[in-house]
Amino acid sequence: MIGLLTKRLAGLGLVLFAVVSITFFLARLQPGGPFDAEKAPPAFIKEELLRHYDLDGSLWSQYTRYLGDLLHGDLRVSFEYRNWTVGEVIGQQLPVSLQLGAVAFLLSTFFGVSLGCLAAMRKDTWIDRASMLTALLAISLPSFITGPLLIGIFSLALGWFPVGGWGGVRSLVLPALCLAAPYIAYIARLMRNSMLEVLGADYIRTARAKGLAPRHIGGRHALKVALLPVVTFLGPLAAHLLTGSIIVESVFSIPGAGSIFVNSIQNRDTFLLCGVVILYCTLLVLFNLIVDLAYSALDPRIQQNGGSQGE
Amino acid sequence: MNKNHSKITTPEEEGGASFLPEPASRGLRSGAWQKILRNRTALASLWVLGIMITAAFALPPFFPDAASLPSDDTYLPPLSRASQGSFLYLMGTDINGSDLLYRVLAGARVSLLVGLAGAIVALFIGAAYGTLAGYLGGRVEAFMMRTVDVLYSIPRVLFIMIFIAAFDSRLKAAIDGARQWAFSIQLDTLHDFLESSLPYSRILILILSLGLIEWLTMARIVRGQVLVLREQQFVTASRALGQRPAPIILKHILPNLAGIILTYLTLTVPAVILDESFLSFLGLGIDDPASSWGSLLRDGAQVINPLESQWWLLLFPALAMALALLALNFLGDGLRDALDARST
Repeated sequence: MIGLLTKRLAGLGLVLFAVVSITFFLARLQPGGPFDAEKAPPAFIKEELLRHYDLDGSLWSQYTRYLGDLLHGDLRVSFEYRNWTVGEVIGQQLPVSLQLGAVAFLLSTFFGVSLGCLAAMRKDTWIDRASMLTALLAISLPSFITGPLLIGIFSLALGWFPVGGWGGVRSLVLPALCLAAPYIAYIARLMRNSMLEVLGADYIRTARAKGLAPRHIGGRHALKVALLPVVTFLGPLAAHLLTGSIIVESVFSIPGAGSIFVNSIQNRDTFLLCGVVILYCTLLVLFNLIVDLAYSALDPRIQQNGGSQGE
Repeated sequence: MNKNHSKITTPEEEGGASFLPEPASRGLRSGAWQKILRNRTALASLWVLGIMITAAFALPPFFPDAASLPSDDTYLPPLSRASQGSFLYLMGTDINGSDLLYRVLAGARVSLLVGLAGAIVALFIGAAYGTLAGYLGGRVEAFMMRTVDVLYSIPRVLFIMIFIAAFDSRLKAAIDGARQWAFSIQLDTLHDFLESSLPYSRILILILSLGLIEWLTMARIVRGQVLVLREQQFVTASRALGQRPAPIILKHILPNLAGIILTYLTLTVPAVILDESFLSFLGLGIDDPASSWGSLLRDGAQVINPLESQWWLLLFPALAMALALLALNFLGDGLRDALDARST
């Protein structure tokens, strides 16, 4: 356990280092700097600006100085939102995305697992076919189609939910659903396949031969093991959902963190971009660690000896 | 799996009974094609895709000029007649008064082309990388796969956006330079070709950048498959006979990967189409006046409002895209079932 934790933390450091380096150099690969956009300032002011933001000197020395600052826990300031540090910009917009993402995560997990189990238990009936067709449809539709579709039906035609905006539980329903839809579908498909595989296993046949109620077989014996592939997927999913989605947030006019990512690339806001990427990677590694711990809880055969393979 | 024990089985047929994991793919032979043809949804998907591709590439020349060019007939609902002439706008018209059906077909061309070409780029990189990692093994493999893990943890949009920003203008300049060079030495056909291809440089960049990022899954799957194949007896036998690695990979391993590669090619196409539509929706993909399903959907989503909505601008591109993606996914599923190729 302790071994796993230390190993993972060391791994996190290594991944963050690699990812920050790649992001930094990729971001600087773009033509144009942060101060070239509108009216170009005079050369000496630009020089001063670059020095102010620690962007003077060779690219390599900028990089090493930036890494040094990061090691001291300093994410630096954003170019676009002057006077704001990267931490402040993210801290301002992330809570909204966190709430929305958490709801979407719970929706995907709950409905995905239930639908998948239902389809597997009723294999080859109309329930199975209908839910799998719907699932494939939901995977095929991007959120910029489902979003306006949901608004058109539930807000404009029926008037049940607000068209967009943020505040209150009612404004959360449609965006969360829109965000969760493809993942509900993906989890349902994953769950169905793995449940079918488990239901065909010998120990399930034994349980059935002993006369156990189908409810118990499905609910207790099969579900735990069948959940394993789904749990693997939940780690990256959580990191993805909690950091916000630019599409869903812009379709429903929600002031979340999803737009930071794309905007910071377009604004050449290197440090803000690196900040978001660091956040995403940290969440990813953390959730994958939780996934590994959940593994041994679900299936005692899986030992945590620190050498497990993560995503 | 094979209950007839008296029969002498080949290692491949025996797979299910042995303790080794069964090679997930058996190439394209062994009745897989018949299986696909018996799978009704997969067959129907094949038809849908065939009709869609034919329509997208064969129909546009038959449209009158009035359909493709801007006109005064802005925002006409579906099934309206053109104000001049008797042309019927089956899907209505857009903000410029162009026929939506024409634009959806033109969008289909771009989306399907980017999807297929991007997936093929991804396929080549992923298959080569995965085969190499799986076959070499040891530290090289560990390093190669850790690299894939790291690349996985960087959001894909980052690569694509930066790639576009960094190389789009450079490619345009390069093509333009070549055009001027062709002009200076009076190679008229080359000059005309380059001049006409200038507006499509964005498509080329999209294909390259999407292919350069979508190969990760393919690499993982192929590598897993190669790990299994590498331990098979026919590979061991070949190695024992003194065959060198390159011929083993080319003659013995790659043919056995064909099934899984085809399956994941089919599943990568919709993924790339989705990526492209995402970029175009954000305004980073296809530029006007060219269109893809993503850019049409962006235009359609913008006019959805409570007062007066031009719903057809969203509905028809969405239907076309959903149909294509659904068909591709069904086909991929069917292939996976027929070839018994699993991702894990």
